[in-house]
Amino acid sequence: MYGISFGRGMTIAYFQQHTARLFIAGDNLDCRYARTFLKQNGITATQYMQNNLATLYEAAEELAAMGNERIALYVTAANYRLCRSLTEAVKGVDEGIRIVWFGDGLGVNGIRLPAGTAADGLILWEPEQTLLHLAKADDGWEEAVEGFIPVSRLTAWSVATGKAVSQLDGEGSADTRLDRLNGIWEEALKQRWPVISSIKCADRNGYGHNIRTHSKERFSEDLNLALQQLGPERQLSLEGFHYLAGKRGRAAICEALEASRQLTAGYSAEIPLEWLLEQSEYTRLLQAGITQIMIRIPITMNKLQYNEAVQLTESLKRTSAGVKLAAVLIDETTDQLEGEAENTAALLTHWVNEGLLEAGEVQLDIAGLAPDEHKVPVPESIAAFLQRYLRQEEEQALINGFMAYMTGQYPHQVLGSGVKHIGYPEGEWNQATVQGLAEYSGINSAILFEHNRVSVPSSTDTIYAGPEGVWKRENEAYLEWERQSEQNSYYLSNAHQINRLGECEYELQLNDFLHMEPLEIRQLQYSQAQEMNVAPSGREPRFQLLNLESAEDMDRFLEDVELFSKSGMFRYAYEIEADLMESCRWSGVHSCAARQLPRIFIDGDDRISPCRGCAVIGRVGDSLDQLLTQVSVVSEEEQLLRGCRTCEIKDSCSKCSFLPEYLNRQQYCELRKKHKLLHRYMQMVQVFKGLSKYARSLQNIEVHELRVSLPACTHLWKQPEPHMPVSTAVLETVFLFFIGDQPMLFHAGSQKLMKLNEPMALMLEGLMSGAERTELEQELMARYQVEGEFAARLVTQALGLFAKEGCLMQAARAV
Amino acid sequence: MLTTTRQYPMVHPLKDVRLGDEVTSLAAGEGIYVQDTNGKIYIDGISGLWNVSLGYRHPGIRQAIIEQLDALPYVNPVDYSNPVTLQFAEKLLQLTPDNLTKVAFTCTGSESVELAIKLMRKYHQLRHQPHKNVIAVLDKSYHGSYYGSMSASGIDQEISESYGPKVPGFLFHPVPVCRHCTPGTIAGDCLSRQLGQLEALFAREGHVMAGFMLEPIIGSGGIIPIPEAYLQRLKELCLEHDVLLAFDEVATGMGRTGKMFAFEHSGVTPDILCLSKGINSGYLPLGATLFSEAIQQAFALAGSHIEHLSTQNGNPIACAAGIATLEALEQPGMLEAVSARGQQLRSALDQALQGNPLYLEVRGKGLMIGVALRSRHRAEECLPPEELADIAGKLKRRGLIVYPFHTPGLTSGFHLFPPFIIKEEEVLEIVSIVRKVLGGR
Repeated sequence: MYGISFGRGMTIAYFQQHTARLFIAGDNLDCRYARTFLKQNGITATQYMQNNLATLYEAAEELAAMGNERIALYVTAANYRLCRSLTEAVKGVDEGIRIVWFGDGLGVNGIRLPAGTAADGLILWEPEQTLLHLAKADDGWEEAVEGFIPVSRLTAWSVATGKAVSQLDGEGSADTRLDRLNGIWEEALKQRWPVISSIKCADRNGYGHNIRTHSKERFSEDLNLALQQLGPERQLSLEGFHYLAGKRGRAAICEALEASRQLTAGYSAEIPLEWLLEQSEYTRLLQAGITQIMIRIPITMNKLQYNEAVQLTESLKRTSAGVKLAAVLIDETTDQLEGEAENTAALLTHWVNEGLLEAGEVQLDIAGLAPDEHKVPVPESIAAFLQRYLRQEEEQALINGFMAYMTGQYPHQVLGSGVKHIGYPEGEWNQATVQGLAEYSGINSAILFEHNRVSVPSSTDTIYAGPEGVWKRENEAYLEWERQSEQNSYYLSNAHQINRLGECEYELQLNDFLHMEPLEIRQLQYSQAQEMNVAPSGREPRFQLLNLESAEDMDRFLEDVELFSKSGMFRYAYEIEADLMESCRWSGVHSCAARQLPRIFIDGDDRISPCRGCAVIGRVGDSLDQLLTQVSVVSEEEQLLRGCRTCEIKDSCSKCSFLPEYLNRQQYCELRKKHKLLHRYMQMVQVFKGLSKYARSLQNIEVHELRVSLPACTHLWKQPEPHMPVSTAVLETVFLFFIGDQPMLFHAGSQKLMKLNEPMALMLEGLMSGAERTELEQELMARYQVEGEFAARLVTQALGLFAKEGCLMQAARAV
Repeated sequence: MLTTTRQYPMVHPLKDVRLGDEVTSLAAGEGIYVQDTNGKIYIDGISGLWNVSLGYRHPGIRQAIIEQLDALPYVNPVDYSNPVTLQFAEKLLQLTPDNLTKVAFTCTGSESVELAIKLMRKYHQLRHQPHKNVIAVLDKSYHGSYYGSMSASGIDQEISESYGPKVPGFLFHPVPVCRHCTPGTIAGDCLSRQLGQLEALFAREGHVMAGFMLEPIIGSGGIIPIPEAYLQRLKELCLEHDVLLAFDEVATGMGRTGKMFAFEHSGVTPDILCLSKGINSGYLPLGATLFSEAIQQAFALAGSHIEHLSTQNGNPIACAAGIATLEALEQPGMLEAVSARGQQLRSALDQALQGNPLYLEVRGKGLMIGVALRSRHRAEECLPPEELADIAGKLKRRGLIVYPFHTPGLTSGFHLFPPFIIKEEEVLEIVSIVRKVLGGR
């Protein structure tokens, strides 16, 4: 029997942070161990998987709809707040569903659940066995189950706080209980689960928080299966390796690793600093094939430890060729002596200066944080080190989101699962209606507070580490929003500030994250940009945004478009370097996402608009469905009034239905019809923006060196007659341009960038302009003085290549 | 960290070839439920692809398959027969009107239609009427994806066109709907006009028509029942003009509409009957084309064979599953239960969705149901395909698998073809999920 039992199984959910504050519903080894064990014991175990999480309510509904009355949430420091809110939401959907929390370290570090928590209890240890008992329990979970503590007993429970791992993982306390959990890798192979690039060496889930390990034999079997699934190109992460305090056990694992090292690109592991101090031990790890080491360094250490580590520097440099080292700061003392953070900071500084550590490779051990600890203040000396050396990984996903919010350009794949961004252009939300935001905001959405009055950013100098694994700086405004969210039971996913620093100058503050380099924004009116040409004033800001606010701005913008349409050239660098706010309005068909409401703007009276400065479609308190209906109705009516469906430019216009005050519908339509290549201009700008980031050949190119081929503006082919309709044979996704004299072809569908020779570019321009095959041949013969037969062969080759690369419309392929 | 390194090895029919690991992988099924490889359980609201009509792990079918597998897994259908295949053919004929006297086994619904097309044309050839080779079909019909059946399909023609040249000789007649009536409710003057058009077609083309093929209830096109009066007049016209009538009951047959075959609702009997899908509850590939004594005689008199063969035609294991399926369908109360559960589902959906701006109507017979949706802001228009896909996705996320339909300019919505074994409380669960997804909170 397959044991499908609707309603009687266990749903497991792990909200995995894939980048700071952005989650997916994913999977991990602990969940797989539990799932496989439950299945082997006849219990249906379901993993909730979702890459595109919608609102909290939707996620709760989906969890409830998984078909099981019991849910186990895997709680970590990073997802603790989300799990807490989600637990309440699931109970709101169906109070009959029982929810238990589990997770590596949950029991070890303890948890101070807030009063009135909605979870039914916690699993302290042996999660697989405990989940099985809970799954089989017919009635409530009040009965004593080893390893489980029901919520009713939580108040009486003495929190097992911060018991240092080193105190737990002596040789005697570890056992090979993990061996009893078998079949995980076989099940992954059979079910074709996505590959997990890590393997478990040990965990802290044993009875009484003991360390559980595998025997060498079993570990070898798992290792080979894991490597078989992972492939030889990639690195395998060794989970819990640092728990292997006993030398004998560690040696056995190292033997297994070494035996399989030919099957992998290497292993990565965390190891305590003291293992490094023992030269022979370190050499053994390297022999085993460990090629990436996260050194676990106490946030405070004594002078003796510091001296030993510094003395080790030269030998580490000698032996660590080809090994990538990083540092993980752990908030625990490993010595009876009181340590000092100055020593740790000095060691980190020394190792960075000696080239042993990359400056940006210093993190905090978030797995070691108790889940409800919002912050771990960083000692001054460590903070000073960070501020001096840290090159923090930028939160690119959050920054991309911010740009989408400012431009209105959202990728198609993110649409349709709640509002992504909620903007408060007046800088403040209405405390009384905060709770209502839950209706709109997704688990991964962000609120943006735009402060348009010049103000000093509200950050202090206090630096701390957050559960997301990022360094933070205390921020009073953010703290206040967080507090108000808590008060209103609203899950605050992200809250960014756009602070005005001065004339046209702003700074983006992502949550309360520590930005080593401020995220500066220069926001200009389009007409100003032309006058100033975004004149550099010392350091260039990170973002340059141009705004169309007036008729004068429009005129200047359209002048640039017109020049491009006629010459295929850009006049000013800002056209490519800066981003146009609300550029969706001026882009091509399908660029307007307003009907899916990826962003909303809320004014001081709680009125909601789908785009910046446009018509109101509802107010806070309306349901998301009401807003979606209203935005569709308004948009549809507007497009009907304009006659968009039968319009001559219906295939190239975004049909913006939410216009700003300075532009009425008639003006908009006239502008779009008059500037028929506006959408192409916007596409081209986006293409160059993207290529300049990723294509070496387009980096540091002067804007004047660029020439774009257009159906009515060619650079090699004879210029088409003005005002004659052009019947192009080339797809819209194909872009032909010149860098200097070098023709380049970019296909937006395949994302391929190719250099072309001149005859090929000539023929492509010809095809763009609607030339027939014979015209191409004649032009080749005339321009290059070649025989007709040779020209015909060249045309055949070119058509073959363009067809193969998917550049031509279907009819042209049959030429 | 989760990653996928494997190259996705296959393409999925009718789907973007770039689709890969995002396609849900199903690992187990039981009753009306299926389970994916992450353990998530879904109500299979469309019985696989409308074929697993008796649900998953049906003990009778399972046992029959095992026994036949042990006895004899394959028989060459050209030169040999076997008791199981013969028995199944006999049982099928026993269930159908007396004029249908022969069974040709196929492997799929498309193949059954392919064979029907051949039979219709060859029949007239054999009777020295080679000019009668045009086959009329309805313009919103779907008959399959092989060349003949694709060419005969009215929907998605813009897609199939690019695979041309297609099989010629099909005449697409408008499906009997009109703008005054919602699909499936046509009556009165509107119906009279449609009958008039049908008569005009025969008057104009009857002399060259070999056959008329249609689905008694349009399936993929959006669950549009063809009015009984229309079918009855069609039969009369076929007789008058010596035109064969073929029913594509691949979707509607084998109990799906609450009777063994959908034509039983109107009493109109076909000359050719195409079956597949539920013929053995979808456990193994099997189809059948049943045809009339007249067709049999035409071939017999000419001493001709039927030029059609697939290696697995009439596979004994597939037929054993078919026999077990028929036995289950013939259990007292089974087809009545299909009607009753269907009625319950349609009524409950209609009740739950009243007042919902997206809801147009619920259509169908038995457990062949279409929930028609309309644009949220223009009631006279169909729900756009992207919004429909969003709704189907949400239903799936909430644990209900449906199949969307979008016939431009006519109708859009989603199909519900739950297994016949669905219980009352499971019907209510489906309704609850649909109501929540369409109605929001």
